[in-house]
Amino acid sequence: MKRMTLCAVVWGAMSVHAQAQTVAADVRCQPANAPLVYDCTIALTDAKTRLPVPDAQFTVTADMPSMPMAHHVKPVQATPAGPAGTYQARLALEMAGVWTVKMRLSKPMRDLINKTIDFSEAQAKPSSAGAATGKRP
Amino acid sequence: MSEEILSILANVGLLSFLALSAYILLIGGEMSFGQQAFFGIGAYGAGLATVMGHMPLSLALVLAVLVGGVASGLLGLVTLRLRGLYFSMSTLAAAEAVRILLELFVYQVDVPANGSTGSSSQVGPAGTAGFGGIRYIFEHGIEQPVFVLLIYGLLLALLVALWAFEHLHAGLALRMAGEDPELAEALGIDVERVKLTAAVASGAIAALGGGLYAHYNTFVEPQNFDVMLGIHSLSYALIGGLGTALGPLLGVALDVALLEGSRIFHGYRMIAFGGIVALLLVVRPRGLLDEKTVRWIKAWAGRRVAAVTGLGQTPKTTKEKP
Repeated sequence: MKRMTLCAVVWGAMSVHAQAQTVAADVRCQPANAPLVYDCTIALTDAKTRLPVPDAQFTVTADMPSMPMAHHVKPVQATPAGPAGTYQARLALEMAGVWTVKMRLSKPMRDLINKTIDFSEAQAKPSSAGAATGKRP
Repeated sequence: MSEEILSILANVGLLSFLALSAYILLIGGEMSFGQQAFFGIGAYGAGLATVMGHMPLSLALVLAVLVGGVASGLLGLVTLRLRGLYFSMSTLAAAEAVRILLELFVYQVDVPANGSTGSSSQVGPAGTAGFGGIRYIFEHGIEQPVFVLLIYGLLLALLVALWAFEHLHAGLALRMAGEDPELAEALGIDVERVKLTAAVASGAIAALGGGLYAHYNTFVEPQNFDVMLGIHSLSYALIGGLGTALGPLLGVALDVALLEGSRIFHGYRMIAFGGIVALLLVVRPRGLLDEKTVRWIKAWAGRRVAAVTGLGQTPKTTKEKP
């Protein structure tokens, strides 16, 4: 009985309620002047207040959903661009198709935001499969 | 350590679970194209456990292992009656069925945004849109290098377990069942039971990798568990070799660390990878570290150890005069 109580206490102490994504990202990518190279503009907003997130530090990379872990591009640092909360990053993909763009934040908080984007068209748009950040668009 | 290196290390570690799951079945003589299904089941199972069940990661991974093992065992009960190509095709069909089921799986709950109770959003599997918000490592302040260490710690534990298994009667029986099932039967080995146990273990290993993947990535989608992932897992084991559990790890390292890490072939990597697989299947059908090579390495290492320590040398005998 004591063991069961201890287990219940440990379980309760270790479990927390899941929280939604703290930061939301709107990603738009346009072809740059080289094949398979895209300039992406990323607008970060606070998921709760919808206010822009300035002074964020994050890297951007991409993974092919159909071949996760094996096809991914080198992470690049995003740099501020234009209005507060807006950043840019250049992605050099290996091939056309659907890619999951990953933004790994280190500032203002640690987080990982995923957006699935179809890069097979001239102007890359969120895939019909949807983008998922734990929060429906 | 840079994020890129950490990312490659994590990918090598995670894919190694999948490659080892294919390896277990391969040494039992069965070629499965469906290990990605158990990776997916583990990913969704562990994700659901932490996000919906509010479980700690350790319990979520245990749950993933159990679910993956049971699912693989149930599939094995049906498919292990088939032989060769028929078994392979049935595992592929089952894996595609699992992927389509995940595309239809929608189960979402409201969670507070940013920890507040004011506004909320939904998390959970959303069919083709995937399952996001598996944010356990962020909610618990687990840094990326720490999680990579966790991946490799579990991988090391798995390798030790596999090493021990291969030296037990059950491990030897599995190899024998894979190499010559009729002879194994004649020697009293219950081949069907041995292969079913291997199927359960392979599903559990793949599911453990999937659970780790879901928490490292925070987001999974059905497309992640496509047939390509299954073919790669099989190829890693076949490239690396079936002589030792380190073989599949060598296969993963060759593909991800060498080809992907160095980006020698850029977008043509898959062509290079396919070429390597085809070439190796011709010249070394049981991979780089096949049984013969492993025996040679063991003998060579044994001689080196004996030479250094002076042990194992035969003492000089003096001829006695009659």
